[in-house]
Amino acid sequence: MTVAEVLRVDGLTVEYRTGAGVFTAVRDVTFGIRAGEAMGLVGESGSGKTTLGMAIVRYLAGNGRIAAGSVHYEGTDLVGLDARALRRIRGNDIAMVYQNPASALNPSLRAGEQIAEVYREHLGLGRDAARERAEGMLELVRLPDPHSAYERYPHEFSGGQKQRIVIGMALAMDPNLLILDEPTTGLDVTVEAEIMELVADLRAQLDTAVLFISHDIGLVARVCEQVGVLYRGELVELGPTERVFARPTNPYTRGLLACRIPTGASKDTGRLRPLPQVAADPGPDACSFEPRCEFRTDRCSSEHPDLYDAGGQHSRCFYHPDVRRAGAPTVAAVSERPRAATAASTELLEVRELRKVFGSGRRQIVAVDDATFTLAPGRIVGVVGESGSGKTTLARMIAGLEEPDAGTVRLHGSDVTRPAHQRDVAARRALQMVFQHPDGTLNPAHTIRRILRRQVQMLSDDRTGRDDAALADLLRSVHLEPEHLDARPRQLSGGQQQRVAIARAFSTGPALVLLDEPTSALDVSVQAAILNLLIDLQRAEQASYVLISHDLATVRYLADDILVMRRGEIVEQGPAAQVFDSPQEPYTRTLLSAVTARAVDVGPVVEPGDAGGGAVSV
Amino acid sequence: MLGLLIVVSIGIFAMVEILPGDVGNLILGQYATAENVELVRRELGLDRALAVRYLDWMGGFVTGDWGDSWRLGIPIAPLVAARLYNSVIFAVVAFAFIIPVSVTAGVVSALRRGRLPDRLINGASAVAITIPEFVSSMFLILFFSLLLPWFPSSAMVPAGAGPLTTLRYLALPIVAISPVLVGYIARTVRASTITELEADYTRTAVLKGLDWRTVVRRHVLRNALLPAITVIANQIAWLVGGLVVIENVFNYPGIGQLLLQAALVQDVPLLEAIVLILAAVLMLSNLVADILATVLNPRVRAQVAQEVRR
Amino acid sequence: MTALRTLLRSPGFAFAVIVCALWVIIALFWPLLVPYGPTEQLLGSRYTPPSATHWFGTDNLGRDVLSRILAGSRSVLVVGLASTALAVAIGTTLGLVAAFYRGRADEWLMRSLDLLMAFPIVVIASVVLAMLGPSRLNLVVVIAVMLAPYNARVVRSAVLSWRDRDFVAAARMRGESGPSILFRELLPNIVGTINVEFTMRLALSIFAVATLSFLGFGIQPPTPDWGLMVAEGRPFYQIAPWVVVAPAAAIASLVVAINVVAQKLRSS
Repeated sequence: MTVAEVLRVDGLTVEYRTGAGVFTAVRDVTFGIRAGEAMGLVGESGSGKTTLGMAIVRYLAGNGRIAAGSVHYEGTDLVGLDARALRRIRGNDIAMVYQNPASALNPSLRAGEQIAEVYREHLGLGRDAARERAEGMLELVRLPDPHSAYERYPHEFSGGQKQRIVIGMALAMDPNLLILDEPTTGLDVTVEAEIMELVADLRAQLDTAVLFISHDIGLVARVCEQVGVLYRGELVELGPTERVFARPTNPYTRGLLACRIPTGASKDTGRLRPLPQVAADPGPDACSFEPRCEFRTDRCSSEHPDLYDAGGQHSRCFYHPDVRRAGAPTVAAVSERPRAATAASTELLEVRELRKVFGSGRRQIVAVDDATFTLAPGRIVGVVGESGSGKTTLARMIAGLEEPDAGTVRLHGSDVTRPAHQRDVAARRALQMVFQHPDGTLNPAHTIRRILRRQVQMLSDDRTGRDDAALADLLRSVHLEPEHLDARPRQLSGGQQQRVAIARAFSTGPALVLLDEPTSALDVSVQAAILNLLIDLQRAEQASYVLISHDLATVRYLADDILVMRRGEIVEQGPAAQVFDSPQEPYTRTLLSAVTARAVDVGPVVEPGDAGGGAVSV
Repeated sequence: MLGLLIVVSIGIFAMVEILPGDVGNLILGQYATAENVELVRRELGLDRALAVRYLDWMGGFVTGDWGDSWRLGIPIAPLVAARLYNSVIFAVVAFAFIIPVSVTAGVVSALRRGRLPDRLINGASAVAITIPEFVSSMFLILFFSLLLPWFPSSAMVPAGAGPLTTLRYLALPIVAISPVLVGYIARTVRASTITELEADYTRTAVLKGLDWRTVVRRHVLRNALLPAITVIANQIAWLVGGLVVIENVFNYPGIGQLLLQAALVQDVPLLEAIVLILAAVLMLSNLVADILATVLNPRVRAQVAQEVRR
Repeated sequence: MTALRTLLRSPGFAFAVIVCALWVIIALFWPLLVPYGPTEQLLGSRYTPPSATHWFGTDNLGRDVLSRILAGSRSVLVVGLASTALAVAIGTTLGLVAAFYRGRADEWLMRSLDLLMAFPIVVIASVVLAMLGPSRLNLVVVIAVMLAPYNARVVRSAVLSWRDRDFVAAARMRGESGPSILFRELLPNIVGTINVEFTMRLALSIFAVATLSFLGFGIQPPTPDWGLMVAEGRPFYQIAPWVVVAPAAAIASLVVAINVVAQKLRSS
């Protein structure tokens, strides 16, 4: 352990006692952070990254405990430290900022007070002195008018401002270590960029060491010098950020990088490369990534690898030299030429001057204002915008879930500006929707069979359902097994539930599918698989998509045309390449520059004529 | 609220006045002649139209003339006022005992969640809220009045008694009426406190290095006790219901006992007056609770301040 | 049903279920179980304390207390169950309709229910029963009407929490009608809530029945009823406490048992 290290985690193992036995969330994790250095911890859901962060500050849930290992802060082991000493370190030497700033602040205390109490507690300052310093902190985090901001309550601030207050609370005592756990998830892109900039600036200014926990590789790459990759509670790769992401030496890291949206590619040029989804748990005597690994051998299923020195970085893999030799991850070029769009005489979808207002009188909100656009058959239009832009309301009006206050929606030339249940069967068949959250999209009280059967039944002319064989085919078309027909939604994973939702939407061959953030709630490795599926289905059915997303990278990859929305208005529209490469409107430009400002692009590259590794993309 | 009160008064009037059974017979007894019954009806003004009777009644009520009790023949207003006064005293003393006990129990239970104090308090309150007041009264009288002659079984406090004696007389009735109220308030406070303990901002406060007592006092309780005010206000309705039973069992001369007696003999004007006054009391207490909750909620306070600034 | 099995492992729950089952059996079969007729007056043995011949003693008219207790279980359970069933039926319907259709109807409905809930059950029920006459039917209806609002509120908020889920939107998009969504999509998800509600209202209903009988507005003599027995035994509480203690304990046991079952169901 070098003297300059601020934090040293050694062999840390964290367990949870559950009804079903003991669950090891974090296993034998070892790393160190030097003073002033920024280290990232990357992992998907279930990787244990949040537990790790909580364990370091000793704030585990009631049934969690540190089973082994140590956490040394500047020489003192935090594990087993008495409450009083721990309290002195918290907030003072180690501070934490985590997700969802709205709930991190006490709604009944003034914003400034919540910063001031840190000074009162740790420095014993009186009210006025504490207030003065708190206002200084508010200014440091770039909140306008710190004096009146002090007096206001949290609900009077926006999401981004709330996070600034939280950061202010954390940095108040100039801690040596700042732990950030998904600090920008849920915030708009432009706000994200600002917060990341603030963190980077303050870090440089105060020379704070940072532990940055996130699922977003690009964010981590922007801020951190070192990075550790977590998979199923274990550290599988550790090293300097640039090296790890440019030339990974671990199959999981490589796979994680490979399944991202390829740089500068679109669905017509490069195909996504998802990680194979396997439910099996290989057990403690094998490599935990083995079932999904393209470099695996028999040794991997019977022996558990240590963290080996891979020359400049560390990797938990027997075959790290092979992984390094495989080079930067690439994706396959698309072999199939896209079918030429048929010159249609009528547009598929025509939206004209659509308008929706919520509330009335002085307190009304114009959610969508005078939206007009058309969509040809077989084309994908991406609708981008930040929160409050009205993109979801627009989609819901097209779907018939929201009644417009003005304007028309035409499908195949006929007017369908009515609630969905008042449209005729043909219109309902032609227009379907896939929703954002997999856990609310299927009725938990029904079996998959019932869900799909009912869908077909309601939308067929003669009200007949389909037999099991046909439903099995439907499930196979979304790469699910017929056994799942008897399952209930809670027995399926998020990705599987979303596949069923897609099967449901495509069951009767729609001409237009509305996709409202279809992959936002899924892990990165699952997203790629779902996006591939959506592309395949679109090609096969020649359907059109209206894709709503806040993630510009996904939209850029998938969409043929773009609509940019802001505060209910469509501020710019046009072909994707044109909007992204030469945006006309200032807002679009702000949006695009925020994307590059917030994170580094670490996507794979399309290899012309490359068939990829041994993994099959589904 | 005034509109609501009018609606309620119509409801009460309708409920009581549109009744089967002849009033005349009620007053004069079964063997009264038809003419005498008719005489009584006319004297009491019962031959007039319903709407006219309603307006007459409400008019009288508002001006303070509440008419006379049929059975007792005395003016209603002073009677109801005196009884209401007694009941209010009882209620105030009872709440002075109930509120601190239940709130403390709820908070302690939440802070020691899962451990022995919590299990005991939770279990006890779960049982307490189910037992009808007359049942618990009977057991209390059995143990603390009959077997161990510590307390009197009747709450008729002798005139001119000092506060300590008064308390001795009121002790059993208060303990008898408490379980339901204490149990309910304690459980609600417990649930509310646990929610706040698990909130993200509590985690923030702890990770800021604040001392646990400060966290509980300044952060948790501030948010947890706010909804308790509404709950306590709701319990006033329950208390009124309990009063009917308790005053009966312990012979306490309050409005609950009066209501019971009036109902048993179907003394219509007295019944109307009592129910209306109780309705007014309940609505008033709900209104006060609403105002309190609003005033103490910083979000709403800020909104109001904003409106005022505009 | 595995959920039920896990619940039964908890000793408190199992015991409560047994108590409830016992009272149901007694209510059904009391004519076969009573040692004496419940209204049979043995004027030679008035005020006898509990003994071998009279396990719970006799009352002021020489009636065997045990027999009256066993017989009284039926009216309590019948009225309790009937009024609860009626209350849940009314309340669930109102709650479903209000939550699904929303708008003005929902607002007015909730306001009226709030109003009704603001009044203590005992007060309103006493007055109404005094005026209408204390028949069993009146009792059932009055209690049902007073309990329905609680049920309606719970059902309404349950439906509201499910109403905005995406699978409901998907159902609308395939053209399901309002009632179809209510019964096919939403109802199966709130059945559990309704079950819990039923048991909780049952405890409250029996509470109300017993109290009203005690006050004189419920079951009328000479039908044996626990609340009534307590009231009748009060004047001579000092000389014959068992006449009061036995029915009071019976009420307590039933009410607590039902409530324990209800609480355990709710937290599962």
